[in-house]
Amino acid sequence: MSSTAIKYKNNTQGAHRFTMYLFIVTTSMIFAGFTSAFIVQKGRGGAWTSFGIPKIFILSTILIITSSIFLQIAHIANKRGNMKLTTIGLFLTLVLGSLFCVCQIEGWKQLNDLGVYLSFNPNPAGPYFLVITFVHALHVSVAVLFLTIAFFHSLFLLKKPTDSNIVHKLESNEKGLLAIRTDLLTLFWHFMGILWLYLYIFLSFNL
Amino acid sequence: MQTSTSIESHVDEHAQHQAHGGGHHHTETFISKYIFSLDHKTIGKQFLTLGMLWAIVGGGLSVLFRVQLGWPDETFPILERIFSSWFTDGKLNPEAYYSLVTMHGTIMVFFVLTASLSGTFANLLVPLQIGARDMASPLMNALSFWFFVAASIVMFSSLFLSSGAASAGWTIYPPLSALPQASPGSGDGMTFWLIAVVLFVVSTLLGGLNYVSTILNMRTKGMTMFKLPLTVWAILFTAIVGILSFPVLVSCVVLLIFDRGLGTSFYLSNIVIGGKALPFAGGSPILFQHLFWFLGHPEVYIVILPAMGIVSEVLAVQSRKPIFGYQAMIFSLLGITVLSFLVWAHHMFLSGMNPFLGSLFTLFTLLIAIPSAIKVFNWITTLWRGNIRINTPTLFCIGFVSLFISGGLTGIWLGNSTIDIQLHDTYFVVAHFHIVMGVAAFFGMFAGIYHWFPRMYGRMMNETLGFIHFTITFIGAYVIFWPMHFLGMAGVPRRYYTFNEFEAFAQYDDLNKVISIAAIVVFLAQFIFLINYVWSIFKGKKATQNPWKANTLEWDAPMGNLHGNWPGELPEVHRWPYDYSKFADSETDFIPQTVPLTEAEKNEKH
Repeated sequence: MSSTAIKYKNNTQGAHRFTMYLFIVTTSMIFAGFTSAFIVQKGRGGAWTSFGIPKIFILSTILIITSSIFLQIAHIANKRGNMKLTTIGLFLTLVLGSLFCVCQIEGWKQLNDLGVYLSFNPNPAGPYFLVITFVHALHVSVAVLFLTIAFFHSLFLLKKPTDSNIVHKLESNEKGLLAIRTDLLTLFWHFMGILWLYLYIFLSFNL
Repeated sequence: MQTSTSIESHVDEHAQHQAHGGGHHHTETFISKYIFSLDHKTIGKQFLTLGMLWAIVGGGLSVLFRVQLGWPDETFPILERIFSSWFTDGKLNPEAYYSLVTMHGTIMVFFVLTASLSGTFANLLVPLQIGARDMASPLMNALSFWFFVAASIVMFSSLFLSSGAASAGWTIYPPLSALPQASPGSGDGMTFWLIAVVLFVVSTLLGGLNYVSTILNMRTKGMTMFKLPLTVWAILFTAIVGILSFPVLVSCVVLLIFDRGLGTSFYLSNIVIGGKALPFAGGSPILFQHLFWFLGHPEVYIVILPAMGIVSEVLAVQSRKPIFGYQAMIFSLLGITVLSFLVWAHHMFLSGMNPFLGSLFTLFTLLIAIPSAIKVFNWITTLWRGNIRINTPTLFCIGFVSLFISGGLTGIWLGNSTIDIQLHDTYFVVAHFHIVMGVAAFFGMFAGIYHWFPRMYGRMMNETLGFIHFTITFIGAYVIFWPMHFLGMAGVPRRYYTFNEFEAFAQYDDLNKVISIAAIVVFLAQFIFLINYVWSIFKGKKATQNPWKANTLEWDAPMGNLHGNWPGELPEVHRWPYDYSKFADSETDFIPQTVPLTEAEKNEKH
């Protein structure tokens, strides 16, 4: 060991956020792949026929953007130590996020009735739309899973009595963990919203 | 946030506890210490061990199909007794041949040279060389290894399927890979392949995200980006390439899975099998090639960049000279990284894509020669008039440079869309990529293992066995792959099961035998290395703290598997890692990174 060594703290906290940013980049690349495939396939022409996107996808757009606002509120409330507002915010995000997934399923059903189906569809536009939105919804549902964990975590902290010293100490650690959870979740959830907006606009213009 | 500080303070306490308690481990069982370990050094060794097992499997498969190519008329009852499901009447089945070729490629490219090469050296070296306690997220790091294990289990078990493993080549072009009825291996074998590769991508991404955020966030005091050793730079760029390219493989594979199972036609169009027209319409197999090679080409740089980093570091240490053109090395790595995303269609010149696109991709492909040449010149000039220690790591580095030149030059031929008309899908291509990314990357890996073995196990590897291993492998590799250039120029196509039917290729029978014999000899020579490796772990000569007299921080940390790397405070870095033979009047010819600058040095302008 060097004699001149001095104390230096590693920045793991920044690294968590940074890793999430990188993860967002990787997820973007998946959809960059899909949308470029979409453009190439559309350019080839053939049996490609456009169709109208059902109105219900506008509702899902509104849902996911509103949920982002609630999650931001929860995130800020958590930073300020307001556990009640955090829990409510997480709960509302959870509800709206789940509703978004339900809306997507409903939208796919409506498309199916309109003749936009997956298997052996002579029009490649339909399968592209369905697969791209499905992979996005898959990401959202995994995020919903993590939201559920964060919500119960927050609820647990809210309900817990805080009279003993040990619980106090435990709680401060737990609060730190919840802060990391909501922080990373908020980043990813906003990204899911922005990604959906991009996909919605991209698909509306190209269909 | 408080947790992260508490984890860190725990690590600190733990490390100090160890320093005072004389290496006593509290409540660590064998399982938590060696199997589900979160320590980056142990995870690195785990990657290396699994990678070695994979290399034996992948190399063994190539020996089996080389036997078929070298002696197509002979029968081998012994092989049939061992591999009964792949052989009939002492001869390799054609279906098995395609499975073996596919699995050899997949195993070597993904499981050995991507997962194991990056996994071993990124895990071992990144935290040690940047002066960190561990990775940004040790848990993600361990998960990365365990996803690799899961992928390995799925891929390995596919070798035992009754219908055979995947057989569409490691590039799994549809429709061969998309239609289960296309070939025996396109059924369950392909499904296993796809599942294994998705697990593998998860592993690579977990690792890659972690390497980048560790390198950018966790460097010790004074360790600026331009004081990083070139190994860390190379791993950084490798991880960035992986982060940007592997997700596109995911989109590619997702569409393929939909085509296989759910009746979509992303890659399929107007196919007739057994006189029956299939209901697929409107898809494009070329689209698959675009998506696949958008990963596939950067993938070869994921393989070679860590090897380049290892060679740069080892050459500087072993020739007792600063690396020539440190910044040029970094910017050429950056250049290769950027260009690697702009050249993918040179794999598709004859796929029927627009020839004007072909000329654009030819241009970008040839541009890669510039950063590659910069690197080659810098390695040679690093050796030039150096005080070179001729030992196994040095030899493997020199071997790497030699192979990289030989294989790189043929890349200039293949990168030309016109020459590619003659050479595509011939043994010329096989020779090119095996030399430049296969053998060269293996040489980088061997150099790294021989060089950092004392850091891993506290002992030295046997030099005599190392010399023998190097000599046989180096000469053998050229004997295997050099003649393949001539086969290729004569038009001998790759991936053929036998050339018995072709009058024109009859004259190459003996050459094929020579290649096969060399392949078997080189494969067997690797067991010299394995014996040396295992023997040295237990019986090797004890290593001193800094056996190579190197400047980098991994030799500053105490030897052994100390959790947290440094017992007390983290070291502070004052200088770049390549101050070798700096002062003529000094007693030692190296100045570690932790030594403060002298007054004279401070006055110099760097």
